[in-house]
Amino acid sequence: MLKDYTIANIITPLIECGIGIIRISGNEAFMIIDKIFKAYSSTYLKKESHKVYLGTIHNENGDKLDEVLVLLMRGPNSFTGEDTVEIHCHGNPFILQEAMKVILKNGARKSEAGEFTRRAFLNGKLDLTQSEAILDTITANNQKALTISLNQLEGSLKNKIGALKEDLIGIIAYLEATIDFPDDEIEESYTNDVINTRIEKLLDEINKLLASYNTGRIIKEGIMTVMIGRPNVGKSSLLNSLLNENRAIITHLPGTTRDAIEEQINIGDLVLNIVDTAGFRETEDIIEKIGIKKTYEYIDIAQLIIFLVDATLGLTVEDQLMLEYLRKLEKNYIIVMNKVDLINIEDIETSDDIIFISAKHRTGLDNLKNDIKKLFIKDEIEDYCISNLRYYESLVKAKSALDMFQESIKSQIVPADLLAIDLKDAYIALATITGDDFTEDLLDNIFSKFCIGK
Amino acid sequence: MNFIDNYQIIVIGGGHSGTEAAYASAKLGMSTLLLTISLDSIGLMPCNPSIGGPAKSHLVFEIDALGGLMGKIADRTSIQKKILNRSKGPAVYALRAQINRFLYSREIIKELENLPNLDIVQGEAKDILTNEKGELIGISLATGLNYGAKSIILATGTYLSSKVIIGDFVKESGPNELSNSKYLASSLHKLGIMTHPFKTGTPPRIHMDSLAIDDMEIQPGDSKDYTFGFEEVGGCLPQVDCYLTHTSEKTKKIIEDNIDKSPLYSGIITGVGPRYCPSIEDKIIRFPEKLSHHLFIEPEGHDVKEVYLQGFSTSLPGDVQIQMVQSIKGLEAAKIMKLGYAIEYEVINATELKLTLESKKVPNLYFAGQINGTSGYEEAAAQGLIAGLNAVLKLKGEEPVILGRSDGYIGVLIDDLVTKGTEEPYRMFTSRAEYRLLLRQSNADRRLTKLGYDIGLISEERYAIFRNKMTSIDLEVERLKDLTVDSTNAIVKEMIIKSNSSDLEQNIKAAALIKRPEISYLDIANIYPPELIISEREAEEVELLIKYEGYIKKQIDQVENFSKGEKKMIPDWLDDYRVIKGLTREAIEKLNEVKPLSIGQASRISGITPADIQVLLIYLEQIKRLETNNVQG
Repeated sequence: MLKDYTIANIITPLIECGIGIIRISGNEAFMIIDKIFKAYSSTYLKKESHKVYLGTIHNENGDKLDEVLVLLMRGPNSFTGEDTVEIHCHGNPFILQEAMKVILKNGARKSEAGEFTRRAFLNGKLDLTQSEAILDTITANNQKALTISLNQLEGSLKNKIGALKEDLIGIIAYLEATIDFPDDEIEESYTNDVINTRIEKLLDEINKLLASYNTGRIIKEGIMTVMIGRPNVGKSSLLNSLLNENRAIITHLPGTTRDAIEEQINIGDLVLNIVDTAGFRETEDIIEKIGIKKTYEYIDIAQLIIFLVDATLGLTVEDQLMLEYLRKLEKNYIIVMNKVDLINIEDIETSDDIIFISAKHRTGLDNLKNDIKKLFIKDEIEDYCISNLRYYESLVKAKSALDMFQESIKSQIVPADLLAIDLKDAYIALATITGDDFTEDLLDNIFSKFCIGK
Repeated sequence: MNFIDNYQIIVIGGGHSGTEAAYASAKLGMSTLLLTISLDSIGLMPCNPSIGGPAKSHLVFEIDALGGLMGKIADRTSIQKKILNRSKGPAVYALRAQINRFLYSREIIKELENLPNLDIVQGEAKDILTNEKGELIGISLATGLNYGAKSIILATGTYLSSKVIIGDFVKESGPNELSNSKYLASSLHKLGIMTHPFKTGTPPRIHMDSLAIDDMEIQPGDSKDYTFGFEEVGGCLPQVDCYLTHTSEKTKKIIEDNIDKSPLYSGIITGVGPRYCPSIEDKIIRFPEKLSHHLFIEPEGHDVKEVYLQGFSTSLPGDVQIQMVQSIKGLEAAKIMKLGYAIEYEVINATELKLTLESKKVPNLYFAGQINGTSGYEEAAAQGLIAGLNAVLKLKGEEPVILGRSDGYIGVLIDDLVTKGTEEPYRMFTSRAEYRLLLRQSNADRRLTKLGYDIGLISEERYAIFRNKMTSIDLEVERLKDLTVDSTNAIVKEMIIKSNSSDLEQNIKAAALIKRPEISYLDIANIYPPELIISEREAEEVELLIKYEGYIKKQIDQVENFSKGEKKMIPDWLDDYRVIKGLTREAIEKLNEVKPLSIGQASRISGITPADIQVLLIYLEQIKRLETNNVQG
């Protein structure tokens, strides 16, 4: 049973380091990698086993995530004994998680603790002496996993998911009650319109939870922050000012993407992984051009862009072009006007979304920090952050089932028994987070809500 | 031990479960004895005079598809037929028949009396006899007669140590004033099979002529000729109407004022009753904001004055029942012929059984019907058929019949009972079936008739007709997928306009056109008729196979995933899970109790976690490897 799903996971520690590896194992491994990987060389098409291919991986919108090495290993000649793909990415947790997301979207299931090893065992890749040890590990893992999951579920997240399930099963109970008890008086309080509105509300809630996944992840792994601005605008002094007060663990990270990460800074609960960039300006210099190209690449993967402007110069033409570029992206950015100590602030037309600082004199830094916090920590979702990819995955499943349901109900032609299929799928997806029995929940709900019976 | 006679199979109980079991057994050539407390009450319908409805009709179609009795007898004796859930989708269309319950019983008796290999005896079973090795050898009757048997099927219904309760009146009795089964429960206890009480109830019966039917809403049938049975032989009895009426606020007040006299509330009744079939007093107390509850008047036959008051099950004292009934609109002058009552009876815990319905403790002892904790004629009949077949197959040394959750409602029913057990009388609902779009009543034959034929319950002639039907459905679906509809054809254009459908911009495949909700199979078949005209039922199936193709495919994919776990079998020798290192104590207890056949079944046991399943899988793999190594070594 377990063997038949294709599973995937990040198999290197989720910290910033030179390289991060994702392994996909199972019948569909090759199919999945085909969907997300663009090889530079056409020899990839031959899919030779135990060969390494260079290329890029992409998210579902086709945006490039990273340049990677892909290893193909055909079963049974792999660790698990199944068709296996390993993707060697740059060791950036953000990129790895994004890559995982697109892999899961394409049909893989996130592996459970020890599952690759277990498959290796079940497929005869490990010998019997090793298996006892595995058995022990698995048992231990379960107890640990149980504790972890209980801890995670305690409190508001559990309540939140519980409330969503409650709402959903109310609707299912209505549909099912009208089907299973056609003679009974089921209050017709749920017209299609009412159901639709309630599903929309549910989808809103699920979307909020999904969004909180990013917050949760951000708190855990830090925000990819890119500082941009013209040369000499004061990027380094701002960095130093922030560092003086908030120095976080500094790790010098090798690797191409990581080259640019200079520092990590704590702001409250948040960690900024700061990438400093070459100053941008019109240039003929080839090296500078490359630097500027890189700047744009960083902006592409950034979660926060701090855009520094020199207050003594105001918005230059280059600044304005950059600003227009930023506005088109759906990304968080903050415009910071530096060197306000050198001008008379009243001379400048102020605007709410510009923060005035003097990096040199360390003024205005608190405003900057507060703005960053405001961007990433939203009070309403702080209570129930999703930081676990498995929950995220379940919520995505629930969401896509509800999306299907909405399409069906809008068409006005799909009968109740089929509508219920999508709602049931959504419920079961939510129930995998909390672990409940659908049929029992449903019957309880029907019998407590509707007066039924011969 | 002196036996009067020796049989291969003895069935105890002549209700809906026992009769299916005895029928299947005798039909397959086993010497069979059907033992019943009352010969005249074989096939009795002691509660509602109807068969079918959502999920229940699915069961009846499946029983018929396998070659069982219920469907064809219900067809023969129906006095009203209705298709429910027409608007709610193809998975849940359900046929319901009002039945002349006297004729139903009569027809069942006729079928059985004329069956070779079957003896029918009136008497009460007292003891299940085993030899010194604990093997089953026969039964003894209360009268002292003994009969030898290789296998026994227990189908005691609501008769096991049962008592009828009306107010504070309690009587040791089966339903309808029939004797109960007094001794058998303690015989089971001696074999180590424990029992506990369940409860159900029935409403009062009223004389038709005392009703003011003009004050009620008439409820006619709509599908006289629609049959449960594949052979499509409908009944020829006159059709009757049912009537809808409502309780009044006065009814509510009478019940509230007398609730202390209810045995449910006074503590006389301890058994667990079904939530889906509450008594009227339960409904009033649990839903106080509801001022009126609707009720159906259902005739018990076309030539019978006794009518059934559906929705008004009660165990309040007789005088209160009379007041209550007379407070209902149209029943002001009602004359009660039989009081409503509650009945408590003993059931076993079905997790004691294998998926074949054979006891795990006592080989060759089978349990079927209400004794397993179900309610309903259809649920009982389905189990009776399966228990009967498996008893036969085991004696013949053949593979058992175990239907999966994706094979039929029968599979869902038995898997639920045996894997999870039940805490209240179990009734089948369509929502219990995960793959209900695949388990339509319309394709019960496709799902099960080959199996019925292989076993021997389906005749050659019927099997040939069945295969023709399948072929013509399949060919017609194929034809419509290939057939191009000419968008310029004037008749086509006219049909499109008449159906309020959008214009065809270009030629389109017929199947694609039928997928439009407003276009029916007949719209197309009228313009492009098939070479051989297909029957109405076949056309219905063709249409839904095309219209719901996408959803059907989705469910087939789900089933494929699901069946992987079902095919991973747990070996027989694993009967004590304590040997598995790493299982929790709770998991060990549950697994030891249920003894699942497959990993899939194990995963459905309540309280068994995915982690337990992984530990189990690894253990099994380990053992397999050890065995292979030993063989090689």
